[in-house]
Amino acid sequence: MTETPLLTVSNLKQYYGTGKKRVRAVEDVSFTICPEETFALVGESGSGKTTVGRTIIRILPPKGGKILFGGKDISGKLSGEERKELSRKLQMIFQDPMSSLNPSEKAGDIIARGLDIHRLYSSRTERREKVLSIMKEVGLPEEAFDRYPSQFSGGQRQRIAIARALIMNPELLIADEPVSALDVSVRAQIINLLKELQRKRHIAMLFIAHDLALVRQISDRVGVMHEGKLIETGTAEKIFGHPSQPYTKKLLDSVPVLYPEDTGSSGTGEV
Amino acid sequence: MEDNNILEVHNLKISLPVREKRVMFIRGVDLSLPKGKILALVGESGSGKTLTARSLMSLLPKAARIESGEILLKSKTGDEPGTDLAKLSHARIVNTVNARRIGMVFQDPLTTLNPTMTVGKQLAEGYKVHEHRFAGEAKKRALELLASVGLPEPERCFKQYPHELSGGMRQRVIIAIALSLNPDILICDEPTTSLDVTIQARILELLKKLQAERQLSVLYITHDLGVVAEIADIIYVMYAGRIVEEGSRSDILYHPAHPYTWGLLSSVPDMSFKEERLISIPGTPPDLSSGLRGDPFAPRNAWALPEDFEEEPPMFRLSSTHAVRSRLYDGAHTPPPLPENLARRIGNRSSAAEKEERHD
Repeated sequence: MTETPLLTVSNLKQYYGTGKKRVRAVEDVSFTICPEETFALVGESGSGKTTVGRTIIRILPPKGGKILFGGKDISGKLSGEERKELSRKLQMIFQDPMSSLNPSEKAGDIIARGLDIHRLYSSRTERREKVLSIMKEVGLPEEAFDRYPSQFSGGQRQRIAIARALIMNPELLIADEPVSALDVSVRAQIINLLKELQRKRHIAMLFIAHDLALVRQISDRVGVMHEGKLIETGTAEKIFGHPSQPYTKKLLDSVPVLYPEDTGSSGTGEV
Repeated sequence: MEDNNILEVHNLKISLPVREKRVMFIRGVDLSLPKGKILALVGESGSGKTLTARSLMSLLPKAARIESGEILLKSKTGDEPGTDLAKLSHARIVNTVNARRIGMVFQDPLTTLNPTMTVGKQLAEGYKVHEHRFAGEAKKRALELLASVGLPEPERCFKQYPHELSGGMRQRVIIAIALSLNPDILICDEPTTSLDVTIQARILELLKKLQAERQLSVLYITHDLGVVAEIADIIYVMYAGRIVEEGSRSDILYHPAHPYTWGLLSSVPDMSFKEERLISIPGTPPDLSSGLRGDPFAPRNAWALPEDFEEEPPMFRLSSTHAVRSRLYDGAHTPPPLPENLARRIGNRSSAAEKEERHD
């Protein structure tokens, strides 16, 4: 690969707590994401995958290691200006769209938040037009503009969260379990939407999830996390077809499959 | 009641108040649980699967009301006609049916257990209350049970508090409590949804083992079709408060008939093959409180017939085990072929299995 990575994470460390109670959440994690690529981090709860995402977007300051984004080191102390700049290029969507959206704000205003902060419009009409056009793109009807989050279904709320992230034209989107709170049939709608938007807008994505079958559907490359460490990285074909780590194999074997013979492996092996 | 069924539900209707009017959320459910089988009740959130299960144990929300229907439970000896649970008082069900005849495992193991009591105390309580056993004997029974659900150090676990256990261990403790009085039926409401996949696999294994050892009849409620494929003998698919398709595991997984079942099966992502686009069911489930006309699935159904928008179809029998609520099978219409991607996945099964053999 000759392409320069958009994101380079090297030897990332993250701890929670201090002194004797210090818990290592992430240990020496390194990976890269190229422009337009989808890299998935998978692992069980407590493996550190969410912490990696939160550290990259600087909700948590890294305790060690380096994060290069678009060639710039973003792992040190950031000035207000740098933070603002970063928030334009790096956006995140969260698992639970109910708690990530302000319940007392109208959907239109939630989506326009980034535009407001960065003053990316010259008139109210322009603001409204920009919001309506992104709403259309994510499949929200025009009437949704003036409604509150509680008046939407889970799937539609996640569409609002996606619109809020995309209106900034980010280069990298971090999606942390974006569909695990949704019903099966709605999950597929949101995954299709993410795939489509990514293709159209050439965004790179860090997709954090525990659902391996979904990861198979959306990712180009996959990293497997276990107890804070990244134990295996590879193309989706390789990780799902020929995993090299025993833990990865165990994880894949544990997924209940609809048509067991689909996998081409014995499936129900001892765990 | 039929001989081999331990539980039968006939035309069950349950309403709940919504903005001062009563709305029917369970709109006539029929269900038969044969003895010693695992029946999976599958549906999306709001389909009414949990409400149906809770009605069996008189655990409905206070405002809910059973409007009609029978819930027949066969007596322990099996010689008398079944008792209609829908006619028993709440107190009667709690004292004589729950735990003794029907045990239940809930979704979230942390909220089910009492955080201020040790595991042992919670487990022995059932014996003391229901069987008037002395502490010593109750403890002995509790330890045996903890070992039988696969907890490695029963003595130690007995003295621990719920927060000291992992999620998987907590769910094992809950299964032990549910089985403590030897019920004939176990109701599991999404018992593995909050667990990691590797833990889920082990809990499913445990449930299958216990079911076989104790000849349990299990009603397993879930939205996860992968889990269903792993565990169920019989599958019922529920939509908007009614059963839309029922059949054996192979009927539903390999010969699905209802377009909703097709949609559900298709929207489960494939592990071995990257699809251009995942198949999803368009739209969202209906809001039952705003009133229904015709088949509630018709607006989302590409194969809906004009009469479906007027009147809900009845169930049509396809075989002795398989029935479907769709007019496509009324004999006057030609049922459409399976959607392409689903036909491919089902078809792949045999060719993949053949290939596997040649590799070996």
